[in-house]
Amino acid sequence: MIAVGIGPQRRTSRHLDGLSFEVGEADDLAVLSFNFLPSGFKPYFTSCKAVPTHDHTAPSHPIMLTRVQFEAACKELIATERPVEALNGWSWNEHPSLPNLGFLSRRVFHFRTTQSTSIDSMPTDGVDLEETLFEEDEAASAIAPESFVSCQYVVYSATFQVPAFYFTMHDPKGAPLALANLVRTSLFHPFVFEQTEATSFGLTRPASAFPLLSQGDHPALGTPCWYLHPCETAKCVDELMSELDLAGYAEEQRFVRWLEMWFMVLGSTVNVRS
Amino acid sequence: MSTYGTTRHVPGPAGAASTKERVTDYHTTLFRRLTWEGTVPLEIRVDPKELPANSDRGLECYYVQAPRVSYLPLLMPEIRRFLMDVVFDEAAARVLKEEDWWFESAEGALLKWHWPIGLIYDSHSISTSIRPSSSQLHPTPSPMRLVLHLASPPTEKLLQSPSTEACKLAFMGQLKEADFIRWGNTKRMTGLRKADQDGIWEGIRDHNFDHYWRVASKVTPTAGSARPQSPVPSASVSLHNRPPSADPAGPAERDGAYNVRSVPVRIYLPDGPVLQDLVPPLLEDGSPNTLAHFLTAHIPLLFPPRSCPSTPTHDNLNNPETHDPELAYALIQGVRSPSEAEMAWLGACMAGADGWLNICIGIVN
Repeated sequence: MIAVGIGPQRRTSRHLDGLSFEVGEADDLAVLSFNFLPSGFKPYFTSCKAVPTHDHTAPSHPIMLTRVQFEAACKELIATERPVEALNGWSWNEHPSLPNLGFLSRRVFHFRTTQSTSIDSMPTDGVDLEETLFEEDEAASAIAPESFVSCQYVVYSATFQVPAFYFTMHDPKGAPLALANLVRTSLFHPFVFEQTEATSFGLTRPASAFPLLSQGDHPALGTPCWYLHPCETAKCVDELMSELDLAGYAEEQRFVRWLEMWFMVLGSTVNVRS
Repeated sequence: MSTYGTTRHVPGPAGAASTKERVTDYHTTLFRRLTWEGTVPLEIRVDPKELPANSDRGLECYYVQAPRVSYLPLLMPEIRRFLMDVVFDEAAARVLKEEDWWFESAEGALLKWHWPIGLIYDSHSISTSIRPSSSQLHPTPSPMRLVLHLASPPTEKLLQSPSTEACKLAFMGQLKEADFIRWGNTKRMTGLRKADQDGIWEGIRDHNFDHYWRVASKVTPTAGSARPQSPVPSASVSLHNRPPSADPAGPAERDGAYNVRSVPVRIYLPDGPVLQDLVPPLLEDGSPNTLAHFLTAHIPLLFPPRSCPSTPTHDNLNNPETHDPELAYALIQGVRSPSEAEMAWLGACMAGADGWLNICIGIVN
């Protein structure tokens, strides 16, 4: 079976395994529709329904993993040493009593940066930012940059059926950082938040359905975290994967490669050094 | 209540289709309205240690019959007005900072801003019922006692910001996620004009059923089904008075509840994590996915597979010995739901305003 990625601006016909289908576009996600599905065919996209081309309710999210596939891919990925820095330091965690709620976690340190965040507008919800911004104490920061603890998690997003990056960031006294300060740490690459609008509880992009960065409960721990919306990352990974020829790979290995690519894409937004 | 369940006469073939649709819409609307108008009693008391000096003690309890589909941040304005009018003097009122407020239950459980009030209440009533010290369940619902703190929110355990704006962002996000779960995309939500998107939120904020559903009906699946019969609505309706559908399977509606990819459902275990997975409306053999099947699939230890038939008949309801003793039950909008309930129907008729069907699991004593 062959991995098929879908680019948002392309419309192409492909022919694989005796199956012809057409790739189209709808909004910012692509629609995969099958003209013909032979019996016994198991779609690579496990949640994709076989539908006639005129059915506009066909699922349009290209890749979906089950919880079991996610767990297998995570464990395989961290089991072996890899040159990709993003993959260092992670460990697998299980829920104490329930199966299929596992996730990756690690703890890293970051520090304040002075670079521009390029956020178009700062919080508009009336919260007095001056009280929450870092104190501008140049002398102190020159001696010992304040370091912040970031707990990071790669969890399974039950809604979108792809991995999602959740994290917290606390100062040395244990208080969580406000968003305005969070984006001024070394956790994020410069300028990743260009053209975003900020409130004290999230970053949104005008054209996107979902906020880029917002708050949510960790799916297994239930504790409050920040998380990057999983759709953006997954979409990029699918585009990149479409350039690869994975014809010779077994299904499990394809998911491992996909997850590896996911970490690399994550690394373009988040500073993933450990 | 019994008038809702009366059998309606179905006219001849010429009018049958539209009457069937009207009957279906009627029942869907009925349950949506019941869900919308459900309320729970809350008793909100400021932590006595935090009452400023010169407060009028003895009056610091605020009672409210709060809508199940609403959220704690949306109650804060009326609580604030009460506190300012009745409890605090001017000096204290001036320093009230709502962004530092937080709630916990009388037992010390932190209450979440983004959970609908009905969910908070049901989850709490289940936790209380399984505590070893509790006596038998109260026959009438007693007010849930909340403690309101005015300062030092525990930011470790609670999402920041109880503001209305944060509440709106979270609420709209949940609506879009529900849309995605049903159809694999968010076209229905993102296709709404901005005025409509704001209208849905204003319907919640102002608790106006018609404003809310004027827009929500564009994005929520209808409960019209390809099934020959509507499901049994509630225990108060006798089985012999089933809503009539003289026609066999009507046309499957493209936007119908039984056509979705998955029903947006979450399971809340007592003191446990929130479970969420794919919930197809129909099983592989084409039969509707029921609550019993769903719960057995996900929590088999609490809902072991049963040997009784999936649809109730006159016989097996009169022979309780064919049922194994229950270990647990499902609470949906405060109602102990029958195991034959169909997931697609529940998702279309008894979901919260954010589009999600929240199932709280209780343990039988």
